Amino acid sequence: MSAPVANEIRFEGLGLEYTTKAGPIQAIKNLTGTVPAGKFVSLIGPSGCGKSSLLDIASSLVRPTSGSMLVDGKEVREPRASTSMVFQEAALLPWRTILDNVAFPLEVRGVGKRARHDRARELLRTVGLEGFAEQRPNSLSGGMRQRAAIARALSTEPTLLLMDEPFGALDQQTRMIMCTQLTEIWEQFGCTVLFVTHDIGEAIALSDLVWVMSRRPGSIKREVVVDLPRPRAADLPTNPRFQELEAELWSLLREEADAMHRGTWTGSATKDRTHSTAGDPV
Amino acid sequence: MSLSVSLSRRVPWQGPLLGTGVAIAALLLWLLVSSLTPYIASPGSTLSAIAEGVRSGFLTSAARASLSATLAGFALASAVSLGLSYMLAANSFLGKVFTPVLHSYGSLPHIIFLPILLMVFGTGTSSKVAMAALVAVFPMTVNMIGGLAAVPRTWLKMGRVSGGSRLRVIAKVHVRGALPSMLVGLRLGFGSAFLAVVISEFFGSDSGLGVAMAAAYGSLDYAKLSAVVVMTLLISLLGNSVIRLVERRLDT
Amino acid sequence: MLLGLVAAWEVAGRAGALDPLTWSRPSVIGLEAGRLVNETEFIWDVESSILNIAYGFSVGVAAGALVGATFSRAPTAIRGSLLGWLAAVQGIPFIVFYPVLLTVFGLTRMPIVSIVALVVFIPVTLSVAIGLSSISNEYLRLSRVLLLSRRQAILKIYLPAAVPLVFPGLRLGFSLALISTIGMEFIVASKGLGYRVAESYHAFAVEQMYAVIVWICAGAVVVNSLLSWIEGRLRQDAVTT
Repeated sequence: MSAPVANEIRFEGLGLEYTTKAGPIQAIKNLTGTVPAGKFVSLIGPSGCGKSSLLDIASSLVRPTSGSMLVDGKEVREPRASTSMVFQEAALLPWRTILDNVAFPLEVRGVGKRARHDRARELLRTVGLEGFAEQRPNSLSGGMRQRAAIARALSTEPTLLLMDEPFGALDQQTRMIMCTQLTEIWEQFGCTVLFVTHDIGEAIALSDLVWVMSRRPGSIKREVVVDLPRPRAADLPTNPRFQELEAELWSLLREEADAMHRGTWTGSATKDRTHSTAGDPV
Repeated sequence: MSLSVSLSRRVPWQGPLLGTGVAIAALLLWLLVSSLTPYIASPGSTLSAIAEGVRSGFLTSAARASLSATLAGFALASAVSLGLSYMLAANSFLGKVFTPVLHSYGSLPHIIFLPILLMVFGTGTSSKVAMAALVAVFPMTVNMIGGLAAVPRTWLKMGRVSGGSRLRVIAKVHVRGALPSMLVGLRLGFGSAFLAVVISEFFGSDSGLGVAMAAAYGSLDYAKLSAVVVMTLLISLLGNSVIRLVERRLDT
Repeated sequence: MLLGLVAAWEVAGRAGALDPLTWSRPSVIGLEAGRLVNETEFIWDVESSILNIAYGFSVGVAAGALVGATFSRAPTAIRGSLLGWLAAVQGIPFIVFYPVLLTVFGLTRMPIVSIVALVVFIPVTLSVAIGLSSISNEYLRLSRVLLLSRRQAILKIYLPAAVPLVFPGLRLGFSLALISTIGMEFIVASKGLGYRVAESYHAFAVEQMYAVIVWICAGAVVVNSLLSWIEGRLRQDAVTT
């Protein structure tokens, strides 16, 4: 299968504000960053920093209140056919078989039954679920369900794949296996991936680039390049460079978490600021 | 205690056994009561009255009239409540404003609107159908809204990201996900609609089981009255069971 | 919005667009409704309906609470099938027995009150049985630890814990009681609010009919809102565990 063209995604001065009962909330402010085409980018950050909101914007499910998103240089405001998304809860429809679930995006786009079932079966083979095509989601384990969800996301040959903490609900062992599998699958498809997680190790193992988001209102605090060679070894955690990166990311996150607990909320935090002093008691 | 423990181990056949037991007990009770008072016909005479009613066709034609009015009212109520419930579930503002209105509407004894309907539509089928719809629309809407609201937002997100038209996604994900609750609403709505029709007929109409019931009541024909009552109960139970079956088949 | 409809009704009536015999006018109805309040017969009707509802509801609740409490003590398996059976019975339209009971008891309160009691009994039993059995064991342990007497335990722990769980059933029962009572009075009765609507209709006293309908609806809405408010408060109080 020929590798499809992958997208470059550029966020420029992105802002997202919404109103709740408690008043307006600025989820994202002045976020600027580029996801290079064909690369795997992870997004980590303290809870509530707007990671999921960024994905919602990237999928055009939500419109930013300021700034713009450019895909391959062109501004995009509507949902694109070549973007796919995977959620933390697999969101498989319980009344459909796994096959029908994986074929769902093709079905709603009008692809014929034979064609979409063939494609779905192919994808199930790729993710290692061939025998489960006729089963219902509730007879599958959490990890298997996520694999099916990934297969579904890949059914439309996306050039951009958005993943919102897809392994968050899985136990540690399953998560590690899924990471390896995801990398294998991704290398076959070659699309651009934006991957949200709160697991630093996972982020390093999977990605070419890690974005660290600041606390709310979120923007990109730091971009960290993961210069570990691919293919990534199974004993990655013992690699000293891995440990360096892990420490660096951990301290960046720690800064944000501490600032949050101190109850300080700065205004916009641009990409290169490492430590906020605005809230320190004088 | 030990008896109930051992009973609980054999749970599978307990349900139907209990059901049959209660049915038999009810039958015996009926027999007993009917022997005590002349006003309540015995199971035997009820049965022969039913047989007579079926043979002469009067019972079957009455049943058919009531059922067709019920189905018409049911269809009308379904259409209205589908639209209404989607509007109230999808739009949170409308939902917040109109839900208390809906619940207040549901607390009303709708039968008192019958005279208004009779004045407008006459004593024919239309007023029965309208009354059935007025009554059924509440349980249907309430259940449909519940079902629609219970569909996880992630599924809807997934549907939208998957592409395809908005309508397609609504149908295949949102409505389909709400189907179990919708069926409960339809089941309750059918029961309400049928009852509304029969009561309306009893009050005043040109055909149907309610009319037959009023006639039997007026002419003090206790066996016939009993027969019509039993017939009404049977149809009600049948409708309930049929939709329950569909619910079970669906069983997501 | 409601005001808009009422206003439109009034205007159409005055303009002659609506047949006065059928539709009347809100202003006339309003006057009639006010007049009715002072009329003795109307007050008797109100009293009769209220008594019907009250008697039926009390009997239904008493029986329901008793049976429900008994069921909640039953072992889980038996309780499951008993409650399942009761839920199935819930679908039966007991109101169809009204004509039969009328022949037995005549045109008295008995037929209405008995059917209302039956109609109330079922949801109350269900909610009491399920509610009582779902009171967590923590409460039981608490009452033991505090060495409460049986009476104290019931009053201070079980009752307050049970009320929010049981109330929805009571509320449903009351709503059904009201609707059934008015319904039965409407089809055959000698007095009561439902009867008054039917009688006005037959006597072509259209304004009176609308006025009574307005009173009935107002009463139903007020009661429903009250019960809804109480339920909301109970649920709030019940959040803490």
